Amino acid sequence: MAAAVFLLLLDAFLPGRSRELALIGASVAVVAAVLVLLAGRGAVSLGGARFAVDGAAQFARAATCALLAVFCLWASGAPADAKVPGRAISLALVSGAGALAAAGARDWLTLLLAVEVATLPLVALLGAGEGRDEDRALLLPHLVASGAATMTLAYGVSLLLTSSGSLEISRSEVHGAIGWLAAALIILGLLAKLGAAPLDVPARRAFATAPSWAVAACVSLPRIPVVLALARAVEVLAPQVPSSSVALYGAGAASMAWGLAGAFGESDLRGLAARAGALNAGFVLLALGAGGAFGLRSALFYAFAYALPSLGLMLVASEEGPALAALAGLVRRRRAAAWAIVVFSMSFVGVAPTVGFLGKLHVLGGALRSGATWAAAAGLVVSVASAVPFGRLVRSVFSAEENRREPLEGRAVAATAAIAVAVAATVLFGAATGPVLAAMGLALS
Amino acid sequence: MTMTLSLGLGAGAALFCVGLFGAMWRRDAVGALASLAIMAAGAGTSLASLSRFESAARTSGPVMTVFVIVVAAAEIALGLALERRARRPNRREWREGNAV
Repeated sequence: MAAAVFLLLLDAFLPGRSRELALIGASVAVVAAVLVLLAGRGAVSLGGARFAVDGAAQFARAATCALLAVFCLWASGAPADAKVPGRAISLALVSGAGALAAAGARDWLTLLLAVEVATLPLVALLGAGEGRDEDRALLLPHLVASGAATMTLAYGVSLLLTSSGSLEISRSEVHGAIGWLAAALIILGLLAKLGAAPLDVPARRAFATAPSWAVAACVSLPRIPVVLALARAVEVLAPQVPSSSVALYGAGAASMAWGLAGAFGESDLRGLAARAGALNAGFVLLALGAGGAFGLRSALFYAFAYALPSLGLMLVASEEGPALAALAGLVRRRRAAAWAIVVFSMSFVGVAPTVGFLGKLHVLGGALRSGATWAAAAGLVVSVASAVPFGRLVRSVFSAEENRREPLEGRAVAATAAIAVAVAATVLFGAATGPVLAAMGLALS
Repeated sequence: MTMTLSLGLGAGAALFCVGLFGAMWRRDAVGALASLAIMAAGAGTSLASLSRFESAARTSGPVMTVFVIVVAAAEIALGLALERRARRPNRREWREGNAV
């Protein structure tokens, strides 16, 4: 947070130095990731807010810092026509700080504030580009949807306080109809923050005119901590509500089907990212339906498996253009970027050896283990069907018709390095299955 | 009329539902943002009633109410800033229109 304020001041006093600011942002994120990994586990009280760092929080924090570092690294070498302003780097850092707080929050008030700090700056980030002023009106429905989600969460917490008398998450008790309503509202509020169906519609409208790099930050940075917050809420509240597992599986299947149906008609990667958000929220609900430590672990890993290729894909789209037509024949212009898109698309669909395959294997395995064969079958069908929109993207990249355009001006090696890191991580986390699962088990124990 | 916990919670629920309806259906920016404020008022009314009648929420209720209001204010401020920016006339057109 301090780094974000510092960068904002630097941007005001030293305008036109956005690349240097992005490099500072990347360094701050790397240092934060190292500190998160080195710091021990335990409970901290900061200004009355209670934080507890366990294995899951440590994983969510380290992964968020890594994603933030990749975003800032790319911004430091972005081509001239996709230049990221200094204030956008500052907003991304504020969002990252909120995400780190959300991952360790132990009471509902801290969680509410942290989730808000993680998501509200991203709405401003969508409007931070050089676009037309009129287009900013399209951000308002997205802002109102996000605000309504926050207020739903706040109202749910107020009802839960009636039921349990404590703001501490682990001590929350659900009694009677008011308690059930409170649990439903809290889970709905957090799901809405994830862009679950049908709230991907205002997000899609907001993304339609925003720069692709802003969409990249929106779909990746707050995702893992918000999923962790949702998992913690479900872990505490769902066992106290009858038939909660069936409701989670049903809502998951509905969100997946909605996201997939919308993805079929998309010809713009920003719209596809919004639809994929609803699809992802569905898979997260499927993971949480399994319940227990396995459900939390698979939801968290799936969130990472979604956020990483989303970031990579949108960064490539920032350079080449988000429309499928703009990517036509990319393999002849930029072979490496074309293959990067193939790897990210494979991960979205869940093809081995990518991180998406491992994530989906965890989720569907959890559903089978808990006896919800129909939910596992629905997840499998959606996975196979998602090959259609992503297959269209790959076909466009390898098409014979080439969208001829000028070579990218002002693109530095840092942008290549950032996309290469995203590709390498997508493949490595999927290929090294044994070590990754062992490390995950150790980290989340 | 005597104020009771049920009455406070009922008023909070009514405000929240009215705000949610407005946030979903209002198309104009000011109306939609005002609906967010009404939703916040719903949550705040419930919390204030709890702090009045439940000893367990005596401190946490008002503290949370203040933060909910702050969050709603931040959302509305950002929304109004975006709306103002969207309605601002194009600078170049404005300059050309006002050129003597």
